[in-house]
Amino acid sequence: MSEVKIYKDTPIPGRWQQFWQRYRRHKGAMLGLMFLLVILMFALFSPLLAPHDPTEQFSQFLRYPPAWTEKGINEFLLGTDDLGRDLFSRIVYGSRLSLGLSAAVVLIAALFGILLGAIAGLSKGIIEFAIMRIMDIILAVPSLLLAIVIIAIIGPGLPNAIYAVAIVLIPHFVRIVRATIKEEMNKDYVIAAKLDGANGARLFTHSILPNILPPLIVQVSLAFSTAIVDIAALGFLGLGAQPPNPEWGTILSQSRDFIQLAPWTVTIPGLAILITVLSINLVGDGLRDALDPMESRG
Amino acid sequence: MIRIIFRQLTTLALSFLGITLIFFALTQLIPGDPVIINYGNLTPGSEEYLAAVHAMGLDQSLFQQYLIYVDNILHGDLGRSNITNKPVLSEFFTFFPATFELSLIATLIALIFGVLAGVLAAVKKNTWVDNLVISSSLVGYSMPVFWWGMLLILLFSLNLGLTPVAGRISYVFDIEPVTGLMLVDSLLAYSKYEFAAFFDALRHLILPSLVLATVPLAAIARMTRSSMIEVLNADYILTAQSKGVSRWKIIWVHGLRNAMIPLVTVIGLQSSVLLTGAILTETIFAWPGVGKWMVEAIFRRDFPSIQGGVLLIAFFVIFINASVDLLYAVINPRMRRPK
Amino acid sequence: MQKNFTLFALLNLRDSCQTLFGLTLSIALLLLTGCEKAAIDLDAYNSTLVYCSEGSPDSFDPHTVTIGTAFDASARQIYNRLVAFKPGTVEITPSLAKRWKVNADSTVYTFYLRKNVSFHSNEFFTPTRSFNADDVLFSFNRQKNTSHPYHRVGNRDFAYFNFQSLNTLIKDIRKVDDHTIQFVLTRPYSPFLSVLAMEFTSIMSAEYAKALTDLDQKNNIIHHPIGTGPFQFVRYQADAYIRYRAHPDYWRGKETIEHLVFAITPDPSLRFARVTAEECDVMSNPLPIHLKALEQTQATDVISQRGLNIAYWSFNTRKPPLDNKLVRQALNYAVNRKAILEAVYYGSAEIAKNPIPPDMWSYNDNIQGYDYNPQLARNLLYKAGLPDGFSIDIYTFPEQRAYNPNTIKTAELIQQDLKDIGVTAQIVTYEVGTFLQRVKSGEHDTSLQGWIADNGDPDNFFGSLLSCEATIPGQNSAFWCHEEFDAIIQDAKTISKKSQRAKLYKRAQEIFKEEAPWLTIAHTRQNLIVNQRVKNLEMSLSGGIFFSGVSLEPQVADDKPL
Repeated sequence: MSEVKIYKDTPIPGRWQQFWQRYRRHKGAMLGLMFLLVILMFALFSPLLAPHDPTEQFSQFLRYPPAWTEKGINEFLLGTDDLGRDLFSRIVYGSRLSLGLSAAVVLIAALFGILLGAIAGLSKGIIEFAIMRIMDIILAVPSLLLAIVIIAIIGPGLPNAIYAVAIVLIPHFVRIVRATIKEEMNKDYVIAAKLDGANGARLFTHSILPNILPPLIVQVSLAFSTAIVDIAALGFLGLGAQPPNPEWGTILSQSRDFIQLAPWTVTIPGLAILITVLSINLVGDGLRDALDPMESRG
Repeated sequence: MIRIIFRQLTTLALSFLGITLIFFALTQLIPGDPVIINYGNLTPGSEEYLAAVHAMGLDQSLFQQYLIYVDNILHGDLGRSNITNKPVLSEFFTFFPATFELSLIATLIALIFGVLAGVLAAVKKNTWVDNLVISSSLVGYSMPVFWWGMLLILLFSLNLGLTPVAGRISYVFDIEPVTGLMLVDSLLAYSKYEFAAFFDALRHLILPSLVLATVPLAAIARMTRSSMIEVLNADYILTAQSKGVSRWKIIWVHGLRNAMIPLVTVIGLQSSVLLTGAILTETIFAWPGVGKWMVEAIFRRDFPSIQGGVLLIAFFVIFINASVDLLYAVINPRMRRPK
Repeated sequence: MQKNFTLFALLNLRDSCQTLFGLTLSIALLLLTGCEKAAIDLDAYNSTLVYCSEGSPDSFDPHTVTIGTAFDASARQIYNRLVAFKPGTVEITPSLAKRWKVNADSTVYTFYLRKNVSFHSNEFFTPTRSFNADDVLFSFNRQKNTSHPYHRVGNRDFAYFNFQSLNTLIKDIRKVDDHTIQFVLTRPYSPFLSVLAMEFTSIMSAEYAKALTDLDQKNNIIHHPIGTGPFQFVRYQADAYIRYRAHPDYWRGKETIEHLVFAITPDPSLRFARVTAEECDVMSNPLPIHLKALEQTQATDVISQRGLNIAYWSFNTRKPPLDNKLVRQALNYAVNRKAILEAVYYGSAEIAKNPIPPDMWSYNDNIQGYDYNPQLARNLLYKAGLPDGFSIDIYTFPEQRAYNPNTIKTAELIQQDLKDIGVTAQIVTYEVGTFLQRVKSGEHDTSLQGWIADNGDPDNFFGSLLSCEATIPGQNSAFWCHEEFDAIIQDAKTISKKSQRAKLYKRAQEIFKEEAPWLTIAHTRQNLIVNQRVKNLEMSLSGGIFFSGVSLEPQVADDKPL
C-alpha cells in the first residue's frame, strides 16, 4: 500500500535532473544523442550487427553498388569495395575503431591535461610559466602537422597515431583547467577553505574539481570530435591505421583510386565520419547550453 | 600602446626561445645518426663526416649544441634538405606563397560569407533563415576536409567538368614565378596572355579555397551570430533603436562593430586550423604548398626539411597570433588603459 | 577611434555591401561557367605536351639518381649517351657515337664521336664549342675519380657506376683525338655496350662545368642541367612541375613539341582524374583499375608495352627440403599462376616460364613451363619422401612494385594453393630495406620478389640473380650455385659474338627449368594512358619515357578541352 500524501509534493529536481531537463529542450542535441547512441551500438555489437567479416573477400561480387540502386543486391546493403568486401560490415567495424580510438585519445589527453593544468593553476612563477609556454607552442603548430611530425619521429601505425593526436589535444585541457582554477581560487568560499587550513590537494578535489566539471565536459566533447577527424585524417594520409583495418579514414584513402568506378566506396565512409562528428558536436552544443544555464541560448 | 607592443615582443621572443628548445629536444629523439640525418650519406670517420660533427657541435656539450642550433637559425641557416640538397629556408619560400595565397583567399571567403551569414541569422533569429544558417554551419564545422574536397572534385570537376581537377594554373601558360603568388604572377604575364592566365588561376583557386574555407566559415558564422545576438540585446542598441537610428545603421555599424571584437580572436585561432586544413587540401588538389611539402618530406624521411619547415610554420602562427592580439588591443577599448 | 575602421566604414554603406556581394557572386558565376575559355591561346595549347608524372625527381643529376622518375626527368629528355637502345627493343644503336669498334677479346672499345652536336644554353652559360671527347672524359672521370672536382658535387653516391663495377672494370679512358675516344677494360666484358646505353652514362658538358667552377656555382650543374638532348631544362618548381623547351639546335632536328611540362602528381587517382579531364596528355603508372575504367570512355588511348621485368618466388636451396630438386618442381606445379594474374595483375601481365622476359634476346621459347597441376605436385612430394608435406615461410614486403602490384595478395594466393598439397606456409613481411637485408643473410626459406632490367643484356638477369658469385652478397636469393649453369653464364660474358652468347644462354634456361630454383611468376606490362592528340609516343623496354619524336595533332578552336 502506498503512502498517503497529505502535502502537495513538488520535489526540487536534483542537479542531474535539472541538467537533463535543460538538455532535453535542445532538439538538435537530442537528435545528436540519438545518432550517437546508434553509432555506439554499432561499435559495441559490431560482430552481431555486421552481416559479414569486414576483411572477407567475395571475389565474385567486386564493386557492387549499394542495395537500393539498380545493380545492387540485398546481401550487401552499402555495396562492396574493390576486393569484394562488404562495405556495411566494414563501416560497422570501423565505428569500433573510430569511437574506441578517439575515446582512448581523449582519455589520455584529459588525464595529462588536467594534471598539468592543475599544476599550472595551483603553482605560480616559473613552473606555471614553463607549462603554459610549452602549451602555447604546441598550440602554435597546426594540430595535424604536429601529429604528423610526432609520427615521423616515432614511426607510423595506430598506437603512435593515438599518442600523437592525444599530445595535440592536451593544451586545450590545460588551458581550461588552469583558467578555471585561477578563477575559482579567488572566490570567497575557496579563500575561506584556505583560511581553514585546507592544503592544495584538498582544495583541488573538494572545491575546484566540482566547478571545472562543466567546462571540462564540454571540452571532452570538443576533443572527441577533433580526435575522430584527426585520426581519420591520419588514416587518410597513410600515417594512421594501416589497411586492411576498416578504419574510416583508411577506407577512404584506399577507395580514392576507385572514385570514378565505385563512387559509393568514397561517399559512404566519409558520410559516416561526418555523421559521427556532427552528432558529437550537436551533443557538445547541447551539453554546453545545459551545463551553463546562465549563458543565453540564442 | 607602446606598452602593449613591448609586451607582445617579449612574448614573441620567449616563444621563439621555447620553440627552439622544444625542437632541439625533438631532434635528439630522431632515431639514427644525426650527422647522416642532416648531411646525407657520409662515411663515418671520413674527413667530411668529422667536419659535419664539428659543425653541429656533436663533439661538444648539449648546451653548446643548442647554442649552435639557435645561432644557425638566427642566421637563417636551417640546414639542407637531404633529398634535394637545397637550403631548407629557400625551399620553404618556394612553397610558402602557394599556401599563403590559398589561405588568404580562403580567409576572405570565410570572413565575408561567415560574417554575412552570422549577421543574417542573428537579425532573422528563429526564422527559417536562422535555422538554415545554424544547421549548415554545424555541418560545415563537422566536415572532414579531405572527404569534402574529394566530393567536390567528383561533382564539379569530373562529373560536370566546370572546374579544374588540380594544380594552380593550366600548364599551357608559362608563368615565371616572380612573387610566387599565382594571381599576381599571372597578371605580370599580361603581355603574353592578357587576362586569360589570371582567370585560369582564379578558376584553379575556386575549389581548394572553398574546401579550405568551409570549417573557418562555419566557425565564424556561429561566432558572429551568437555575438551579434548578444550585442543586439545590449542596452546601447535598444537606446539607439528608441532614438530612431535606422535598422541598417544599427546592424552594420553599432551592432557588427561590437560583435566583431570577440571575432578577432576567433580569426586568430583559425590561423592554426587553416594551416591544418591546408595540409589536407593541398594533398587532395596537388597544390604545391607548405602542407604538401611537409607530408612529402615525411614520406621521404627528409628530417632537415621537416624540422625546419615545422619550425617556420610555428613561427608564422605565433606571429599571426601576436598580431591578432595586438589588433584586439587596438580595437577593443576595454583593453586600453585610460590616459 | 572611428577612423581606424575602414572595414566597417565599408560595411556601413548598404550600397557598397550589396555591390561587394553582387560582385563576388558574378565573379563566381563567371568562373564557373567558364566564359573566358575562348581567350586561351590555342597555339600554346597545340605546342604544349603535359605529362602527369608520378613524383618529384630527387635530383637532375643523371649520374647519381637511381629511380625511374628521376631518369625520366633528366637523362631521358635533357641528355644523350654514346649509344642508345633502339626504341622498343634492346638493340644498340648509335647516338653521340657515330660508330664503334671492339677488339677481339672485348677489352678495348673505340668510339668515333658525332660532330656538330651542340649543347643547350641557359642564363649561366652559352656554349662556345660543340660536343667532343672532353665531355665524355668529364662525364666518366667525374664518377670514377674520387678526387675529381665534381665528384663530391651533389653529395651523393654514383650508385649505378659502382653497381655495374665500372670503377674496377674501366682501366683507362683515352682521348685519341677530339672526336675519338677509347675505353680500355681490365677484363673481357661483352655487355659493355649495353651498359653505355644506360642513363647513368649521360654526357655532360665539360665547358659548362668549367664555367660554373669560375662562377663558384658548381651545384648548378645539377639544379640547372645542360645537355645535348632533345629538350632543354627551363624551370623546376618542386612538387609542382618541370618545364622544358625544345632544343633549337638538337642534332637530330628540333622537336615538334615546343613546350614539355611534367605535372608532378604523386597520387594515382588524381593523376587519372587529370588525364580524363584532359589536364594532362599522358599519365604515368596507371593502376590496373584505371584501365578498366577507361573501357567506358573514348577520349584516351592506352599504350601498353611488355616490360623487361620478372616477378619470382625463389627457393632457398641451402635449406632442406628445398635442396631437393623434386620438391622445388612440386612447388612449381602447385601454384595456380593464372589465378594470380587475374586477381593481382588484372590481366596486365603474362605468365613467366623463363627467368628472362620474352623481349630479351636469347629468350628460349622452346622451354615448356610448369603448368598448374596439384596432383603431379603431390606425386613429386611423395617421390621426394615427403608424402605428408612440410612447412615453410614466405618472405616478402608490403609495397607496390612495377613487377608486382600487390606482393602480399600474391603471397596469400600462393599460401592457399600450397595448402592443397599439404604444405603449410607462413607469410613473413618486412619493410623493403629490412626485407632485402634479411634475404641477403639467407634466413628465409622462400622469398617473393622481382627484378627490373637495368640494361638490355641477359647477363643483367643471369649474372646478377643466379650466378655463384651472386650468392655471396646474397642477390641470388635462392643461394643456387649450379656448376654447369655458372660455367655457361661466365663464358657468355667474355664472348663478344651475340649469336654465340645467345646459344649459351638458351642452354642455361634449360638447366634453370630442370633445376627450378625459382617459380617464375609473371612479366608485367607497363602502361601509359594518353590523350588521342598525342602521336608516336612509345615506351622504352626499361619502362622509361622519351618524348623525343612525339607530336601533337593540332586542335581547332571548338574541341579544345580547356
